[in-house]
Amino acid sequence: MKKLFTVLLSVLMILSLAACSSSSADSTPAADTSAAKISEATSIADLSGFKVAAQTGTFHVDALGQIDGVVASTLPDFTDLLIALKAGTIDGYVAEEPTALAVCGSDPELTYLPFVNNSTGFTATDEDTGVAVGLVKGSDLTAQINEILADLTVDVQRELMSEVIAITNGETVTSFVLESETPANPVGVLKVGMECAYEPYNWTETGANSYGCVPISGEGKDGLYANGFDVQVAQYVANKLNMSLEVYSLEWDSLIPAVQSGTVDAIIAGMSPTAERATQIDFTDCYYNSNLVVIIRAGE
Amino acid sequence: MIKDAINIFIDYKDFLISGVINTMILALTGTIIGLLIGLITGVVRTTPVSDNPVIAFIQKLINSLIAIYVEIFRGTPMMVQAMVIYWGYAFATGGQTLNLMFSGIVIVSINTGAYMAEIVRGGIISIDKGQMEGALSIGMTHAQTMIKVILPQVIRNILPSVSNEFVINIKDTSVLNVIGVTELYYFSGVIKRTNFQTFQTYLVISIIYFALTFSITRLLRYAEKQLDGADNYTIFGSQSDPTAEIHVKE
Repeated sequence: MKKLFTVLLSVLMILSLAACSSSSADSTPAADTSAAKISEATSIADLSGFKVAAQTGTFHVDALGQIDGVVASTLPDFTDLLIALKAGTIDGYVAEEPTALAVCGSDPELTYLPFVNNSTGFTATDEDTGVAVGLVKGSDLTAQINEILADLTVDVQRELMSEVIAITNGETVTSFVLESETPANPVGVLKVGMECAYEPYNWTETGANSYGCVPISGEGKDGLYANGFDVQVAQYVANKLNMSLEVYSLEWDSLIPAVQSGTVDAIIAGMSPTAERATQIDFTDCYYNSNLVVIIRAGE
Repeated sequence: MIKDAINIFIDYKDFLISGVINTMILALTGTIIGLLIGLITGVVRTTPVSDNPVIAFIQKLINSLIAIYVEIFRGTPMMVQAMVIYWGYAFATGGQTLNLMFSGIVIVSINTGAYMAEIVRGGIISIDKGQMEGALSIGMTHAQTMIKVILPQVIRNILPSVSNEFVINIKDTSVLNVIGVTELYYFSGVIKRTNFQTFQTYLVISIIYFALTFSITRLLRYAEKQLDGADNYTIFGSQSDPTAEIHVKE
């Protein structure tokens, strides 16, 4: 009797799960037909009424506030945004254009609305959407790294970004526009912290799979490698400083304490030099600047 | 979907295995050290206050220190403790970091210890007072009574709670990923960011966690049964019957 009851209960639970999933699938198109299609949006004002999300603790959340009538929400992690979009919980999420290119290039179900900052897109300054190297307050490395970053002209930045995005889209890349000699006798180690979880700026590979990848340092990280735009910039900076490079993978919230305490020497993690962060750490000049766009499901 | 999940098992098996090993090391050592902390604090806290005023003062001091320890570590989330201890050490030493597994074991142990302290205390006060009085009246010291009479029963009685803690630890070590301890959950992050199959990755990880906790609870249930011994005998005899002996029921 007990067994029969158990079986009945589990069947009921499975049925209710199935019911949940089918009902949510039904409701998604209904919600979309009530408004214009999100894919036809030509400026951020057209996003009014849609459910758009952004990653917690980023400028993207502030940017969402610029759209009147948008149903805004935040999620803690970039993969959470992705799964929410795919599951239909949200209609789109704010991302930097390189991220959108990397994500949409490897997933045919996704596409993005190519807004341009300060015209069709979000109102943003270079400090809002640029990314810079973060250093401890008063570091003498700031000036030295600024000199090195001057080599990265806008053309070099664009070229390197497209090479890196090609890797994320599964293409084989055998050289980068930004190449430098590894020092024969390095003086010291440049320890760089990044999430290793923010394509195409920095990501983790479970093996030395792509050109230019760097092993992740630290306990228990054997077999993990980092690559991406930030890794190539870090490698270039370290080489030019005549230092060897160590990459540490840290949680986003641990990056600033890590550089403040001296656990790492620099943050090169696609981090924007916002005024709030600048009260805690110093930033170099920006080494990349991108438009904010909105990633959506393809064919909607 | 299921094919993706199977592929995750195959493609990332090295990472999953090392994650399982680290999770089990953290949970097992954390629970054992926690139980030892619990036993020591439990015994100390249930010791009657001495007549000697100096010793009584020291006892009160130790008891209040234990109370502070229990309240602080039981009252703050383990994830927050991990961040505070790990980065606190880094700030205090100018950038030195603790060994990750070591700090993981320390955090899990002191956390479990705080809960175990209460579990053991509950176990000790649940033993009939008459046993303590009886042991003392035949001339046993407090320590002897504890070791030979009370604690063996306490350990048997709290075993379900201990296995509970062990299972909780297997799951709760996942919060240590905030400081980068490479336990099982850490690798779910690595895998989902490599293959973008968030749901399938978590499905695989949840299957592994369930396999771990389920086999552990079965093992501990078996251990409980072994400690109980055979259930087909009773002890006859009492103080009035000097020939007390064990009669086995047929």
